[in-house]
Amino acid sequence: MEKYGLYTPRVAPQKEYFAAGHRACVGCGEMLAVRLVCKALGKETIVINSTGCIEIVSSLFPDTSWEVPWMHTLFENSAAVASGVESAIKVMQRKGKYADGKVNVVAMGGDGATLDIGMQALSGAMERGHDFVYVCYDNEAYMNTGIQRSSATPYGAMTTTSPPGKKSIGQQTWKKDMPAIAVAHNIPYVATASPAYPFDLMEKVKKAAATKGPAYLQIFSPCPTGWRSAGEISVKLARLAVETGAFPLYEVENGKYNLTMDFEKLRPITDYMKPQGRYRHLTESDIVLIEKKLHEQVQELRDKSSR
Amino acid sequence: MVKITIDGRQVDAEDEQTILSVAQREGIEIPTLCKHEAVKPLGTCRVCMVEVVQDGKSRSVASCIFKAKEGMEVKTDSDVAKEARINAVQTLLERAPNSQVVQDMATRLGVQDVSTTSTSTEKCIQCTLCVRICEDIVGVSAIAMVKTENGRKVAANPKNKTLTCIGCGSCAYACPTGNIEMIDADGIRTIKNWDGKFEIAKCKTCGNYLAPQVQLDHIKNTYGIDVDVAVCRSCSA
Repeated sequence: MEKYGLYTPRVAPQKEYFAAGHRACVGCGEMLAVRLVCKALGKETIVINSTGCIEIVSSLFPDTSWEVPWMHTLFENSAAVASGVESAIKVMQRKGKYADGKVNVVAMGGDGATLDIGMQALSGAMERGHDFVYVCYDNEAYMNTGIQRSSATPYGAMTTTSPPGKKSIGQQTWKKDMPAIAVAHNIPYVATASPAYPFDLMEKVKKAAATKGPAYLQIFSPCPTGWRSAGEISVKLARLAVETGAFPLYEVENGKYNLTMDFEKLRPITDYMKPQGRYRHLTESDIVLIEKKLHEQVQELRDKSSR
Repeated sequence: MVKITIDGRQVDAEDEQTILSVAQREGIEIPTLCKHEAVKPLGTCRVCMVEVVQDGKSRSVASCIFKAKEGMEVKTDSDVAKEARINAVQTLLERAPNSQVVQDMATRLGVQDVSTTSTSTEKCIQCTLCVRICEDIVGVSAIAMVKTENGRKVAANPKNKTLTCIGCGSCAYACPTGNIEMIDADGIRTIKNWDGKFEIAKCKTCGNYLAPQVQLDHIKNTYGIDVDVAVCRSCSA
């Protein structure tokens, strides 16, 4: 074993379940999240993937990055197909036609596939109580098709379908609170995660996979292409989002909220927004308004956590 | 290079390569508990036992430390292997009867009944990963296995006059059963197992917590890196 010059107290497992050679953009935060999720899930996994960035870049014929069984579904129905996979495995195991043992059934989709077009299928799957994990990679727009807005696009952000100008601040609505919608379905596990906190992310994925019943994870995924930020600071942005309150990390287990990490003082939101071109047009008063709302949302999470 | 057979498959192994690493390369799963990528294997937990047949003789060995030799036949799932693993995990159950991790491993290995009448809350399975990491990687040898009336326990190394622990948490993160209790609260990190209390240094710019001050001092003293201007990664350029 090599002796480290300067050690780190904690190391991630080295075994990869997602091969290099995919076509993601340089600095893709979503791809880092996918790699970490795959490490946490391990070999006994079936991935059901909605159309989107990850699906496209990981499966250009004739190559694939996936080292576990993988299905590509339509944009809107990975949750429905995952329900089918989960039910089929149950039946086949009962009939002795499928090996015994737990298989992680994991649906994956972007924020467009989850919060917008896929919400119906997801709602149905959660309501029926299937034993599966739904992972939403949130890069806050429809990035694969050229940066169009989704309901996960934050207030004031520029996209091609929420362009800022004299009459528009950019995105005119506040980010849809999808974790809250998942909690409202009374599912046993809901959590948010960020690739800047990789161990926390992997623990949450493991927890979600071990939970009996539906589990929903929303993972913050910086997109340098869509956000107009430098590729090399994607992880830094993923950290700043948490430290400023733009994307708080928390878990909800059987309805009980738990803020994963809190800070004595939230960082100023400008630290997070300045490196991103999609916020370039915002005025000082816009930023003050946004920061106030984000702080209120964090406070709400603090209150829910202490109850 | 040597040729061995593993579960009926003939494969190549490097000289001195352990059976466990060959198995992993071949996609054959062998359970482990005391294995950690950063330190040399020691074969203390023994749940990685496999059957090896050589020169007509069969025996069970710990695959994490047993090296491949020409013509060896390895069976990772035979009755001999399974029995050896069950014996190993039952020893661990005796040490930590109520540990969820050990119970799950026992169930996975085929032990039918993991219930116990013991009220012990002991989690240490005496795999010595923590001690090895502190000695080999961190380099402060702050902890050691110490004999007590209830068996060996990890505690502050009696060879040190004062506690040399720097509160880095490497032991806590490596422990397979979560035996080392490390809690950060109100700017103080507490490691309950040897009553270590460490003040956590703050980032000079934003005030977020960084790492225990003694850990930063250790880094400065050992590697010559200037930690007096320590800022967190979000504040750095």
